[in-house]
Amino acid sequence: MERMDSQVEMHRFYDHKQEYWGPVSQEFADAYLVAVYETLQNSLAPLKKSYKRVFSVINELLHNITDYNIKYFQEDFPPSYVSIEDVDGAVVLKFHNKILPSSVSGLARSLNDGAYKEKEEINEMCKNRILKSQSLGLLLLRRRKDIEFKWKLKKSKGTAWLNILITVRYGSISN
Amino acid sequence: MEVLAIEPTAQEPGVTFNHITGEMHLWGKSYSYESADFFEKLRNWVEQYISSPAGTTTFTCNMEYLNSSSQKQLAELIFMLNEIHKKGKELKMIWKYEFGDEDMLFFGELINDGMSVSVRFEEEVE
Repeated sequence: MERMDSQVEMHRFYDHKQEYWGPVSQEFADAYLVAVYETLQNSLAPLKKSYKRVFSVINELLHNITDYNIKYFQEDFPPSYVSIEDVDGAVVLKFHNKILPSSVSGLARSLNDGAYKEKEEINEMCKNRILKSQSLGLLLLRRRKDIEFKWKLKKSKGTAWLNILITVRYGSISN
Repeated sequence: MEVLAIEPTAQEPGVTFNHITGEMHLWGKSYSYESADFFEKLRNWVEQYISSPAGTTTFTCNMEYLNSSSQKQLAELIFMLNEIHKKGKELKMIWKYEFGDEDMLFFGELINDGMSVSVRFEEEVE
């Protein structure tokens, strides 16, 4: 990934996978999400509630990347990688984002929000936040048994990357 | 004061807020990055409305999808309506959601926790 030209935007579409490599700005995120919503709605139509769950993951992560880029890179956004792949009854989502080494600990705290907690505890956290007019962020993803969330922070040669892998199983698994 | 009517787009919901009839409808999807700007328009209208609300206010929410930013904005907006109930006027809350949409139901339940009136839940028939 580090070898890819940072000035190039790339969109690749396969039968069951699409990839994007390039900067993630507010404009890109909004346009991309509109296209993805329609694609998911059509492709996962038999599993109606699942397409929204998949979309919510992409939505939240893409906007988080946008927030981060605006805050730390102002207008000179580094390239990010986003892929969506349909694999054997699950949608696998990958996000790779360049980050500043100085922001690693803060990001780790955010990514651990709600981790390893039981659903009822997360529900209570959601309730408290909404009543205080705070965003639920990734909490709603954490309460779902059909979503597996993994992330890794990698440092290399003075740069750092955040790699996120999310698997959303669709089908008969219920909350 | 005027009726607030906004057509839905791919990323922003449709709105019809009528200060004369007290009927308020919000429907569609909300996942724009700048959802705060959209909801500010609605908050400004509601702020004006609650200073002199209709005898009965009925807020019907029928959202297909809300991202976390929009959830926060919507919750703030809806909780403003508690003021109507405090003034002794009637307030009705209707939360409609798609068949099987457990996430939208859950969010509606969070809203219910913050309201001084009970929310009526209506699951749409598949």
